[in-house]
Amino acid sequence: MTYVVTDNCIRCRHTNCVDICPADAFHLGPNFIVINPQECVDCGLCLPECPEAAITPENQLDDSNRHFLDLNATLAEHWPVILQRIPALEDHPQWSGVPNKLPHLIHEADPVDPVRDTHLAHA
Amino acid sequence: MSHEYDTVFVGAGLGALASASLMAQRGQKVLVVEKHNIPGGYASNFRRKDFTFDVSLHSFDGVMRGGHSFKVIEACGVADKVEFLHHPTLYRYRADDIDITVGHRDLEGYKNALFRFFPEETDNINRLFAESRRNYQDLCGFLYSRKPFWMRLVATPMVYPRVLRYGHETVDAYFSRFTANERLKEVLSAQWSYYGLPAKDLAFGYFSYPFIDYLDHGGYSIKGGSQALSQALVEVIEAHGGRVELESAVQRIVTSRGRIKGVVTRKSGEVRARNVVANISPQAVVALTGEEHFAPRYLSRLREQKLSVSGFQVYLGLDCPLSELGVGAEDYIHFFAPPKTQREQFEHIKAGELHPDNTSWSINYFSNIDPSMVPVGKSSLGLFTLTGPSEWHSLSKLEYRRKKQALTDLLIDNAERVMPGLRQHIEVCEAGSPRTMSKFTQNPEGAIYGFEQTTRQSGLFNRFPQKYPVKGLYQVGAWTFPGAGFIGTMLSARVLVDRYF
Repeated sequence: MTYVVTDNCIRCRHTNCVDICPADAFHLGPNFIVINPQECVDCGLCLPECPEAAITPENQLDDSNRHFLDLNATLAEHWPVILQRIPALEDHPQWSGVPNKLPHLIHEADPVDPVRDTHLAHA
Repeated sequence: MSHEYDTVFVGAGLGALASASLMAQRGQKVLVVEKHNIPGGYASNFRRKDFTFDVSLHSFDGVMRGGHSFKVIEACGVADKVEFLHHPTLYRYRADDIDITVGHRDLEGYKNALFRFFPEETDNINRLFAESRRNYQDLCGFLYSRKPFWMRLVATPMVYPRVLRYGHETVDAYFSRFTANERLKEVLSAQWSYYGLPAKDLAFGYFSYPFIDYLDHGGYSIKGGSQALSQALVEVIEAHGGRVELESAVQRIVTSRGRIKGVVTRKSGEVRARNVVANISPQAVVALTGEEHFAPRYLSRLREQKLSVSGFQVYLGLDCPLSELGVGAEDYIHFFAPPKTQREQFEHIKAGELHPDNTSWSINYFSNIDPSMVPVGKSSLGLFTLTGPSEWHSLSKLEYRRKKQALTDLLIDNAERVMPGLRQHIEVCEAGSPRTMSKFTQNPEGAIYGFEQTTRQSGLFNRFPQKYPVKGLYQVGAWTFPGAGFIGTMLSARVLVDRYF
């Protein structure tokens, strides 16, 4: 089992989920955040933290969002681990609750600057 | 408001689940709201790979059929739904000068071991245990009487005199009635980490019940871990028309003209209820209700209450049986005590200066009790130390990870010294720090035992009250009377229901 970040997060990306995670399982992308299923320990602490209700346990995914399980796993391989919460995306209010944001997802990770990006793990 | 309940519980810890089961069986309509995805609070399990771990110490005192402590299990309707496994030994106390193993239900054997180390104290030890047993009987008389609560209170001085006589002194002061030997007094309170205070500061009233209950009736774990108990309580609640709402949270406790009106939960929105019983910290209760609903004097008294200490636990899954590392089948828990007094140790603990030369620590041989929680041929154990909150909560996540790893390594080094080769067999390693405790419970400073059990904060009259100054608002669990522990929180449920419901 793992927890999965789904559509509601895209272009909002509050990162409230990060600080509470005991397993450092979150990986940061430009306008989305994902959970590494290899690291997730199913504690569920992140679920109530998300103001967009974007986080779902794997066993509660349905046909409309099951593809996010693979997406989380794949993106986690390319994106850096985020250890500390950062501000939400600036225009998050206008994307909150908007359905089907997947076409807006940016897959390519931003380059990491070890000095500036203290919220990321550089290992 | 669409939903209506007699009583809503905030948090699904053991105190809430026990009282909800008692009330549901009496026909009340109850709702338990929990933020986490599993019920139980500290009475829950977690999995890493193929290993299942009990979150906390998982030790019950005296839950044998026919015993006093079993009555609360029966009253909650779960006596036939869970299986209790007795600990082959109660504990082993290991210090440079003294090494004592306390057997299962073997007070005579324990006394004989004490006689060997303290031959001149024989009479004193006999008198001490005789009176402690009488005190235990008085306590049970008071706790388990079928008489109305007020009648028990009135009758206490005459019928249960020891409850009042010893209730307000420290463990050390009580022991001093029988012996002047400082070392003996420390050895007698070998389990002090279960209570979170040195014997010189710990209230005897809180200590005295499990002290004798453990020795006379034994220590127990639940087969399948304490999650099995929490799950069984949920079944009882649901079988009697109650509801347990997981992955939700109470966002607000709603009052009107000084009385409870209901709550707002994340999943159900507004819920109307006559009573709200909190199983979270009183500080959080005040925040959810709104400070303006409490008198300034009440709030300042709440702020003056001292929090208990926190703890650090390492959970290890091993790729071999414990016997391969020289652990006997009879071992349950070993307490390692340095050549320092408990008070000296406690100063180091509060400052976070943890070292086997300064502070005691323990090994809990989990899979010796319940091998069904680990894969065949493998084993599990826990390493535990008390620790103060020190800077755990303010560190950045990277610094925090380093600190957590350092303390994990220290405890494994300690254990490696008594179990050579341990490190090579570690398959799973997980640790819980004071910050972890706060994450899962939201209790301030990672306090694991609610408010500290000093004489000023312990007992029926001095413990944080079960009733709030808002009509219909109550507290249950470790923060209130009698206090933390599996039996402690379940007794608090029983006292709450007996007294107010």
